Amino acid sequence: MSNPTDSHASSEVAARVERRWATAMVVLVAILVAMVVFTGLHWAMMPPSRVETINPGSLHVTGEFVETNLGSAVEPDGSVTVRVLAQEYSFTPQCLLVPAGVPITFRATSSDVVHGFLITDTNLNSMLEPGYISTFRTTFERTGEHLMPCHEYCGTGHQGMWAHVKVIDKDTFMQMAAQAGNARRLSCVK
Amino acid sequence: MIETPVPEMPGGPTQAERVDEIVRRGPCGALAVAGIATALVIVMWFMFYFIVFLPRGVIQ
Repeated sequence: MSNPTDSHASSEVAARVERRWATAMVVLVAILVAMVVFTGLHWAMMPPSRVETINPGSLHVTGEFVETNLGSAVEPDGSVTVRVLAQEYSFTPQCLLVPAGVPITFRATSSDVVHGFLITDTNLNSMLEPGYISTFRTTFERTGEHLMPCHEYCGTGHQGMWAHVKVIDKDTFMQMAAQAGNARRLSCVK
Repeated sequence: MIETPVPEMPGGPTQAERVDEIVRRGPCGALAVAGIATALVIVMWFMFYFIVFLPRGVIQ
């Protein structure tokens, strides 16, 4: 370099710009992490961490996932529990019926391979693993219909594996539940 | 890579001096490109958070 002072000045400029850019990026990342932490704490929203096991070889014949117990059930506290079974290549029931504005607990498992549980237009998104029960809670604010495709590749029929979720008015649902009694769980399977 | 030597004017600044002069002005172009790219990503992140994620409701 012909002029060592000038060279020093230019490297100073580069170092200063790099420092400022790095600071700005650290601040950005800190803001994003803070928003994620705030959402997690404020909503108490986090991935399900409890592990509940079930024998996939016998769940068709005994326990809460026998066919007559699948679908929506009104609990004594007024909430609704929906039990769903996934297998290659369908969900049982094929059409879930749930009320709007009521806390709903989904309990789902798989009888063969890993499947996915996803309800469109909601944040419901979970894996269904054989041997484990996936449990998650939510409340549907509005009535409407949602698709429920399997989103974990489960075999050659994977693309045809999907169900419907029908969210109906709370009073209508409770009337249907009262009429049905405990004979069979509610669903919208025709 | 083309490495044609830059012709130097007799009596003018050397190539090293001209490079120093350019670097001293700061990397405005690089900052503009990186700034726009970063802004796009961050804006999309916030759009997904406020327009998609929050309205879809809480899951526990």
